[in-house]
Amino acid sequence: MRRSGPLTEFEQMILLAVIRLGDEAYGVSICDEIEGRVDRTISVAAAYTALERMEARGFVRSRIAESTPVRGGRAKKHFALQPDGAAALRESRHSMSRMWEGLEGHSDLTEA
Amino acid sequence: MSRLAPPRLAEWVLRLILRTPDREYILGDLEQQYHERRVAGARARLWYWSQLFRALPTMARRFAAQQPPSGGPKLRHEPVRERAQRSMGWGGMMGNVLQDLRFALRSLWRRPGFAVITVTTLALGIGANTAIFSVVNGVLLSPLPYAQPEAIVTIGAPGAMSYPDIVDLESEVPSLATLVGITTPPRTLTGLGEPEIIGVTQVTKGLMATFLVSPLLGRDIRADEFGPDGPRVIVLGYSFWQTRFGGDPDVLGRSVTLNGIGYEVVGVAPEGFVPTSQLWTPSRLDPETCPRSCHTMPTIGRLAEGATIEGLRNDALTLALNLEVAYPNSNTGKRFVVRSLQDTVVGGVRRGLWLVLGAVGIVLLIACANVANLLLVRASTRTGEVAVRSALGASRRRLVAQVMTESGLIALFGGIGGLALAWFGTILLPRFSAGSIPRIDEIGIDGTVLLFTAGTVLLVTLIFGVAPAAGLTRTPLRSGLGTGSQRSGAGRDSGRSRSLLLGAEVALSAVLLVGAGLLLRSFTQLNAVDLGYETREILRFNLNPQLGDIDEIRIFYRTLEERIRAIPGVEAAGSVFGSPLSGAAFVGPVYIDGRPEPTPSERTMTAIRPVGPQWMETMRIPVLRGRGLTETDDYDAQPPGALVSETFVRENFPNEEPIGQSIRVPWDMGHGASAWRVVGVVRDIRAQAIELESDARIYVPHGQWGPANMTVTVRGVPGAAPLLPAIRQEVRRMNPNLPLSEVGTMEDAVRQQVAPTRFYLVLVGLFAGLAAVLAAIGLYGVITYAVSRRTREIGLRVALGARREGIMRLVVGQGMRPAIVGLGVGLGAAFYGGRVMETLLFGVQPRDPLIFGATGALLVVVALAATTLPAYRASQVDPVRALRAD
Repeated sequence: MRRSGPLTEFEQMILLAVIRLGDEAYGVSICDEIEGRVDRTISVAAAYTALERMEARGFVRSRIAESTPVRGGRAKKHFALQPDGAAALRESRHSMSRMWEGLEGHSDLTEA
Repeated sequence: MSRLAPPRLAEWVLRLILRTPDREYILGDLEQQYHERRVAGARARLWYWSQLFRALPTMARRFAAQQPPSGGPKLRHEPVRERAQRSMGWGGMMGNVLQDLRFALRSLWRRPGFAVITVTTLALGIGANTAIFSVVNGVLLSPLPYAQPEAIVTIGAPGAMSYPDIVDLESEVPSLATLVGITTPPRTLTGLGEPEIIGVTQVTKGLMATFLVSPLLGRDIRADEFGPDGPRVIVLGYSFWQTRFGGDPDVLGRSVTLNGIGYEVVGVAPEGFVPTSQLWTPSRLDPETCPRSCHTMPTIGRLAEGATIEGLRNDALTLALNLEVAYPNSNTGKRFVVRSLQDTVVGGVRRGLWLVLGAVGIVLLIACANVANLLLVRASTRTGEVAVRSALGASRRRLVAQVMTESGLIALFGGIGGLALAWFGTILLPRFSAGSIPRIDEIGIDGTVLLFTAGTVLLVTLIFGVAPAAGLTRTPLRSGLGTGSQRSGAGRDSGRSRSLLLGAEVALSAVLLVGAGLLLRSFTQLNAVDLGYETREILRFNLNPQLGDIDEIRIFYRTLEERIRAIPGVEAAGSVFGSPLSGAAFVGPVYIDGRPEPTPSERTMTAIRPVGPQWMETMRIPVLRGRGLTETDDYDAQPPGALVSETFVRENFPNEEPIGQSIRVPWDMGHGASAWRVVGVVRDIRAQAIELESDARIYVPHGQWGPANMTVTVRGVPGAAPLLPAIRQEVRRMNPNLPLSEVGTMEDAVRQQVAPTRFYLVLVGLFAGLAAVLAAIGLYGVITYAVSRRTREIGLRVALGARREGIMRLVVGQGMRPAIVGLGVGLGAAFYGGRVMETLLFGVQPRDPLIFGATGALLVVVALAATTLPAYRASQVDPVRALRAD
């Protein structure tokens, strides 16, 4: 079930959120970050599924932090970007901008 | 505190549905966020519930992907769902089936080794069966491609028929609608492109009515056109009309030249009508010169409306008895043999093909036994799991359904793989059957074959699925709980089933090996037969220079032989009519001067071969007494000399000197007297077929008797370059328009003769080998498994002082006992059932002790080898480790 190929849009958003959050990147904070910026609701379970997948591909690394009473005594899983993940992000952006090249102002794309 | 905690119910459901290793982190995140939102005054409880609903689709997708996060069946949930689904009727049943399928797929996926071995074993078995069935189906079962094919019959006496008998049968037998006499001699076609030797069917009347088709153009041949003075008319086959006349619609009235004589086209047959050849002309047989005793025509006929073959047989017998009274000279003892056309075409291979299907069926049984064994082994490692499932509420019926689903899935995959193999088989089999199986080009995978494969898959599921399922229902389920994997399931019952399966495998392999051995013996015997003539470096071809004058014929052939002998690399060349293993020969009674003419019942048939003076030497057939034929015999000696074979001497001159006797035959070629003086005795040769003892024959000089169409035989120097191009050039020098036909070597002819035996040998040998290997694997697997189950016991024995040799003996004995019993049963079955193979054998008895001994020895060695390795491993068990295990 290990997926290969380019990053999905959802994965890109998660990776970008991980970068933005730095040390504070964990499940719910990642979801909040995305929701706050792009007006989209995201399930924590879906985020974890994607993160699990990307960890398997070496794009992120996880670290288990201390458990706290506010978490019901459960540990916290922090995520950090890995060089492969950064490379994949750059590649995704590069591909998209190549597709966009010269299309700015194209009649089909101008907003009414 | 409780009011401050996240909603309990939502958390509980989340815990249930979050099936990821990250569950605790997620729940922790959610709880932390919940608290932060609560402090911030946001609607924290609503938010928490929304998280539950958002997680549902993700988890559903994850579950549907059928990838359990880590090993181990999900026992916890299934019984709950089962109970719910049981009460849901048809939908629930479908749910169960789907669930079983998914579970089976998963459990196969988890044990790829097991899956690959079982599926491959079955694919081999099912594939071989499907391939052979496609042959049986295409050759034996599917009807001939004609309208109402079951009503088309052939009648013989027992082979060819005489014209007056054909007429009587057609007019006096009410159950026969029509009967046509046919011969298909080769004719030289000229005037329409390249000259070609082509088979032309000469008929007593048109064949199309027999096959219920109408001419595409013009008309068919009429009954009144038969006879020596009939018109020269011809009906064209569709493809001949297309290739030689370009499908010209105005072809009627045009001319086709055969052997230099023009025939007027009067009709064209419809497409696909090709029962004999591509050209039909009225037969010019003269009933005056070829009377009731002259059997030259095979026949094809059609039953009358509503008549049966049985009825026709009775009617034909009645007529034969009447004719016997009316024409005692020609019809004494003559009986008409009525067969369906299908029977005539494929009857010769029927028994062989069914036997091969039986052999391949045995392979499938052995494959099933192996898979059943593996499933039994697997079932016994799963008693714990089964016990848990049962304790959580799974009924026995559900458990059996589960096991059968898994078996069915294995069989289904095996069936799919088998179909792929069979498809290859249908491509390969026609290639290597080497023309020994009629209609082999018609085989393929059609609906019937697919149905057969589907039925096989179902049957196979039942055969190998029942044993583990039955074991399941017998096991007291509670006993499975609380035992580890090491000791459970090695019960006496499953051990006995495995021994039984093993014995059956060895027995079935023994039957197949005996069959293969007998065929191998037949094949070597066939190849070892001394034919009495040279087969190496011999090239032969037929010529028909269409010369009418005997001097022209003689000069043509003797000159051609002379020129061919001058080609570098040629050692000898001669001509014959009726070359060995070619199917052609003159056969008739030979009279001896000074003796009363034998009555019809006393007549013996002798093959008469006109030969050029050098043919005997070319074929290296030695003259035993007297002298060979000379140029003078060939040219003008009166009476010319003739050679007789050893058998002819034995039958006709048991106590007399044959040399000097005068012999004659009651017909001639129109070139001179058919009387000769015996000048020499030659060795017997097997000319009809390798397996047929030589019959009596005489060799007469071609140059004074004819005929014009001969087989030129050339013996080359071993290792000489291909001679055919130079030979063709010499023929062209003699006559540029003369085609060579039936070009081939004697070795080709011999190969063709042994092809059917080779075909059966290769197939049965392949299947027997497969069976033995499968049986050995089964034996090895079962013994290895049994040893692993008894490690503790063996360790204990060693600890208590048992010797290593004793342990080995114990284990080997455990494997050998069922093998020896199975071997005995199998050899016994082969001993009593071997008669069914008799017609396929040559030079070996079905109960040949050598074959039986070799089979027994081979299987004992195989069984020993398969048991010795695990036995050796058992003897090396370290008692300390064995006892500490579990």
